[in-house]
Amino acid sequence: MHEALKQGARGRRRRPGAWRLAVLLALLPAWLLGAAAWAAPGARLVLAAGPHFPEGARLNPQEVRLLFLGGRVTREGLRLQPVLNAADPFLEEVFLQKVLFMSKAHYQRRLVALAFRLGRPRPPVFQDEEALAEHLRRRPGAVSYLWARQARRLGLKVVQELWSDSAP
Amino acid sequence: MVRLRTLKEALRGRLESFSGRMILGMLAVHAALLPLLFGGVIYIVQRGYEAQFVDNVRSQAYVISLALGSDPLGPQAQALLEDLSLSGRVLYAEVVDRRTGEVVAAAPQPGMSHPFREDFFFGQGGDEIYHIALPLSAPDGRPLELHLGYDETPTRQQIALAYRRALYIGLAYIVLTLVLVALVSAQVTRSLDRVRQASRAIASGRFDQSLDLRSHVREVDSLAKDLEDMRRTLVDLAAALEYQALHDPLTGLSNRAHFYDRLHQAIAASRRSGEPFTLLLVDLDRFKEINDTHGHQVGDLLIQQVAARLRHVIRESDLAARLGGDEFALLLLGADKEGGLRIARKVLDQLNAPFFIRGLELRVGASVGLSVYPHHGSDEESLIRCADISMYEAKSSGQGVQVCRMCILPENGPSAASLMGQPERDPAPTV
Repeated sequence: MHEALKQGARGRRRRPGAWRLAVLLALLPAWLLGAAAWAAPGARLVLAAGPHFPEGARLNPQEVRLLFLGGRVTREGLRLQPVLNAADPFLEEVFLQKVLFMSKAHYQRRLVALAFRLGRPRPPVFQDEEALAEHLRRRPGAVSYLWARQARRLGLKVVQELWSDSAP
Repeated sequence: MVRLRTLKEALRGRLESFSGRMILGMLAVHAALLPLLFGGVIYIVQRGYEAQFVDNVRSQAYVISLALGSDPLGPQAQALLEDLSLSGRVLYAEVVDRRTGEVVAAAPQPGMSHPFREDFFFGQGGDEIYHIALPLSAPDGRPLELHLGYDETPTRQQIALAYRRALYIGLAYIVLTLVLVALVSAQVTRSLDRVRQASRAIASGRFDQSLDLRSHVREVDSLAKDLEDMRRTLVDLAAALEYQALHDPLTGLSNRAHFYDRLHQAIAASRRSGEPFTLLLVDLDRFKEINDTHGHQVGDLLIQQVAARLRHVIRESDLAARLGGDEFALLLLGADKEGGLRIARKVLDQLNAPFFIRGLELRVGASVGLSVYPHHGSDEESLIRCADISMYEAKSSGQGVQVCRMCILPENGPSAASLMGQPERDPAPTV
């Protein structure tokens, strides 16, 4: 089990100040939900898709980054569509750090800039896992990021692993 | 103990004043709103600093992992790691074998101990270092991992600075607001105090001073204007009441009370100056007959015309009064016996002339009694009694005017004061 995953919530509790505590309390439910999802040993961040996603199709890390930053990526004639999973804040941060290499605020600005400058639509955002899974099942080219155990539970196809908690 | 209680009462009185209420109100509003305002601003600022730090760390770490390239264990990679640790922002940089956990290349700061736990949030782990790991691969295919530790302290200092500045700005804002509120409320309180003083003056019957107030507060100005209107109304009412109390409503001449008052004043003034004055009592001769024959309305009109003629005869400084019915009094200030007689004859001339009322020609006639201060009396009662007796003598004798026969002071004799209270008969009545 990666130490950072154990430290996740503990680290933020150290912030002093009453209003910080209030913010922490407000974030706590989402935080606990996230912690419950990745607390299992060997947590893996995966790219998942619906059952109609081309079998055996894989993307390298640069292509995943390009896809979620608004680039055009196709597999077997199918244009891939990124879908943002906002159900778990910690999952989002891991994805941003290990795949996109930027902060959430910067990524949001980047998406807004793409929408305004290039007229590209913002990727759909889902706060609910079930709704996210339903969207992936209906759209053959739609891909998103989840914990591997969540993807299995929701019956989604794991395209590839993006990151795993396998630190020495 | 007593001083403490006095201080408490003074403080309570101050807090219950308009200024105190305003200041307390502003404090309450700011106590509720300022934490929200500055807390919100600081929260946004802090999140901005943290997000900027995380963004810089992630993007820089990514670029470094790309720069290390396909040979992260070569001399160029080692030089890059050492250069990174020299920059100060990166506290340590090392390459780890993912399979064994062994550090295969490193550039730590001297004395730097860094158990690696990857962070995903600013401040996570509580060690003021943001630990981040990126995948690498050795030329022989071994999976490696780049570990970097970024110093969070400068960002924390920036956040602390923002806190301090927000605190100073907040305190300055509160002080400035309280000063402004105190100034504004003091201005309003001053105006209200003036209104209060004016209302107290009016309540105590002193409404001779006008209230001219400009406070720049509409409600206070309106209150002051209403109070000033009320004061003017009271002044007019008081003047009307005073006039009614001192004047005869039918003729507009002074009434008995005013006449007595002016007679008293005239005696006092004459005592001081030594100047004589004359009192004439006038009684109409055939008024009752006219009143009975032609009715009260004609009688009233006749009385009004008589009053007008009397007013016409005397000077501005003299006084004409109606004592009741058809009886009048004239107070001729500064007039001696000769002057009084001259006026008495004028009065007779005026009243003997016919009156024309509602197409009737009426002849009424009059009898006049005359007394002179100080020769015929040194007080109101004696002067009036003397003039009254003379008037009845004139009426019974039909002579028109009669000077008082009683004299307490020879006209060329000693002063009135020396002979006060020693009446003397006047042997030579004058017609």
